[in-house]
Amino acid sequence: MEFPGSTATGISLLSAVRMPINLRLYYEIAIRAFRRASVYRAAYVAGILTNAFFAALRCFVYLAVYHAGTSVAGFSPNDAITYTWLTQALISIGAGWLAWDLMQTIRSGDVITDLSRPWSFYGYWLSRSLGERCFNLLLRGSVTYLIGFLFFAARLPHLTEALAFVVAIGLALLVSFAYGFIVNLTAFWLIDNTGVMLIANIVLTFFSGFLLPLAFFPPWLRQVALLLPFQAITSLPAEIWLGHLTGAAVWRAFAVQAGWALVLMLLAIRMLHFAMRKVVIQGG
Amino acid sequence: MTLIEVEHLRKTFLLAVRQTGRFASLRGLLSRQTRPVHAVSDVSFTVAAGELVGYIGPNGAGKSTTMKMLTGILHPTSGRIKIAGRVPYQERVEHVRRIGVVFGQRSQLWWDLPTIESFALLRHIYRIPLARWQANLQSFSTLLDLEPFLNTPVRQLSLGQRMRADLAAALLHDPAILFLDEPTIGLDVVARERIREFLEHINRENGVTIMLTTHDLADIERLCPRVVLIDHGGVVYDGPLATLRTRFGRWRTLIVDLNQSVDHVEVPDAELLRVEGTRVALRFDRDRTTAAALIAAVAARYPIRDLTVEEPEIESIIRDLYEQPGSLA
Amino acid sequence: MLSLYLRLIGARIRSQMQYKLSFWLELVGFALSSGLEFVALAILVGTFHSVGGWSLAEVGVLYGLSSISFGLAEMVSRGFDAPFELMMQRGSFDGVLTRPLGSFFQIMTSEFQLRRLGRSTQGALVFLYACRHLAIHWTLARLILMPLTLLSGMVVYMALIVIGATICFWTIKTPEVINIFTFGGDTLVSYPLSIYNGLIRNIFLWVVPVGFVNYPAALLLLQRSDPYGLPATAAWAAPLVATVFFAAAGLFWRVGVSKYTSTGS
Repeated sequence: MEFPGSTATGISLLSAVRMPINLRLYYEIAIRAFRRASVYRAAYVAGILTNAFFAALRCFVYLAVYHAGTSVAGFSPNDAITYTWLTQALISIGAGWLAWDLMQTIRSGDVITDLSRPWSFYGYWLSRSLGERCFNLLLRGSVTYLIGFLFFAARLPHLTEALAFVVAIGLALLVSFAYGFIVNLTAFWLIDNTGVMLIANIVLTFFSGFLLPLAFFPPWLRQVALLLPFQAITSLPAEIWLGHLTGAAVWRAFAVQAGWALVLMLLAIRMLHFAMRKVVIQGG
Repeated sequence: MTLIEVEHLRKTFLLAVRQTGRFASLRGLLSRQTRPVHAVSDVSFTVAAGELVGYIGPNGAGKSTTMKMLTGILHPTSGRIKIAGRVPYQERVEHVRRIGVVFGQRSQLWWDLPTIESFALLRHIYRIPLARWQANLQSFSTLLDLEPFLNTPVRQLSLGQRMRADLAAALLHDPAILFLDEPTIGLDVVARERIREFLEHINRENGVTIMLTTHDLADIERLCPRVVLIDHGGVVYDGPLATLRTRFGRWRTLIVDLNQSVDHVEVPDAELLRVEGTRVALRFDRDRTTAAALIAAVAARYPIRDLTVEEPEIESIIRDLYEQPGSLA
Repeated sequence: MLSLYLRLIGARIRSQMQYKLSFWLELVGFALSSGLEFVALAILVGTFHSVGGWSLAEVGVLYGLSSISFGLAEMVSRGFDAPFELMMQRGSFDGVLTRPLGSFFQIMTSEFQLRRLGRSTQGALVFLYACRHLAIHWTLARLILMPLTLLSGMVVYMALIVIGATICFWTIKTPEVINIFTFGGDTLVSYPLSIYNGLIRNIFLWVVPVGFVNYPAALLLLQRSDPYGLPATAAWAAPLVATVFFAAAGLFWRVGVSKYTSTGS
């Protein structure tokens, strides 16, 4: 990979990690990402249809397995249905797939321009991602969930649960962004990191509880899942929405999410630092 | 022998008209309003075997649309095309087997394979006998100097190298006709000249009929004994390049050297271009006055020491046309 | 034609093998993707013991047959996916029309993703595992039925990928909705078709015949009956259904190409 002018911009690259925080700038970036997402109407309509289809499909499976109608592993049939629609609604905020756009700029070499700008590179992508995902959540996510509410009686939470859910989603966004950032960044070292992204993606969907609630996992596998950061992205917000977590458990969930958000962010920034050194010293 | 016959060729596209107002996109789904755009309105010409014809005209005149119809990519709305006895859009596969096509902007090669492998695959696609293929490859390698990059993947070639490889690829199956759309676009002077030499060579030595579009007037002056000039979808000129000059170059420049320097010169039917000391340049319209009349008019007012009449440059004629489409029609 | 096909495909594979690490990572990635999806399915069915009256091993038969077919279809026809979309966006489809070969053939040979075998391999393992746990009575007819079923399934999935690509002639981008029928179809038929409502069943049997990929064949092998009266012998009709569906896709492709040759975009 070749980055034109990488040596010339070397000094500004290394300082890009530590930049004064200019909230206004990041707000503007986020707003633009939000608007850009709102332009692709065909994309989000298709997205809603796809999410609703998969949610409906899984609901039929749950209806078929829950023939007795009793709760299993703490999940009633309605819990399972609610969980399904909620996770499909959250797919567009990073619960079900990783964004590839940062990787594409690394491959194309455009990343060098973004790296040499006087902003925090991490902050830039975080704001972009937040703007886009907020749009997805507000439109794509809520319409998908509305379909589930209307046709499959997916549950609506109480006010306190809803408020806790909003906090949990905010933290989940930070975790899923940091994870995606780390995975995308591997493009600096691998000519073609598609395979890594594929694997990272399936690990995310499986261990976050997106494919199946963690409650159904065999105990040993569940223990593994609880030690990984992915539950912070899907499982914990969903359990709050379902009302399965109350009181102190909610605060514990927040703590787990915030902890992972912090750890992954530090890891991501550390990795970015190495990536930049690679760019500066070896020219990419 | 006539190789290409084109009669009253016409291509009309229907462009969707954007609806405005409430529920515009919804209404757009139900009923589409369209408006016809005549890309090619009436084009007729014939090309004999062995000719090298420049197909030129301003942007949007219908050059590419005609080329696409000749190569079987587009169906005409009406009119007739016959190339080597075949109708391109009715017998696409048989037609393209006997022609070569190069689009200057896009490569026809497998971008991730070494150049030589693209050539090898083409041998099988066009079912070229091995001996013939080897002979052609040998000949083109020499003419185009392909040797240094035969084993380089196409994506790593420079623009000039890629164009040379594309030219060879289009000729490996001994096509009777070669269609070129902007073959020198984006290339440097040396690369352009090399490609022109090659085209001249295969036209003269191998008897390949060539039809090319270009924006580079040097290509035309250097290569094309005949040009077909189109504007607004129709042929405005078809003939030798030299005649284009006398036919369309209305403007002449009279340059006179006076005995003494002047600030200003006033002569009827002529426009003062510049005054440089004793030298005065006047532009006049051949249709409104003659050089003799103008010289007489100048001589009546100022003492003349010397004079010349300048013919217009072919470049300026075409450039005028390109800048003002429709000015000749 | 076959030798030319093999040559063009060979060239694709050689170019992919230039990056061996990427190739293996992607192969593992695809196998792991479908593998963990199956683990999720297995945990679910295991937790509840059965789904719609089908045991885990029986569901494994459904899953295996569909996965093998889908993986094979993806391997041979992903040229209709991103490479074709890119061609439409860059206008390089013109070049396809200046070659003395059918456009369908050229697009199909523009890509060959050996790495998609990851999904097929994983599907085959599940299928073999399921067969070992089931007392399937293998007759000669049933043994003949298997390759026919897999081939039909592959053809149905290929037709879907072609249909998605053909829409590009009008929209320039392959609509995401086609994923509902390809990936969605594969997921849907991994469970017995009898668990869905009439509308979904009918669409996936008679409009988009993904249901034929594996369900009738599984009924036949497992000697089960469909509660809605689909006979197990319908398994033998799968090749016919697949052929008709593929022919329809091919016809649609021709309509798309003629749209292109009349408007040039």
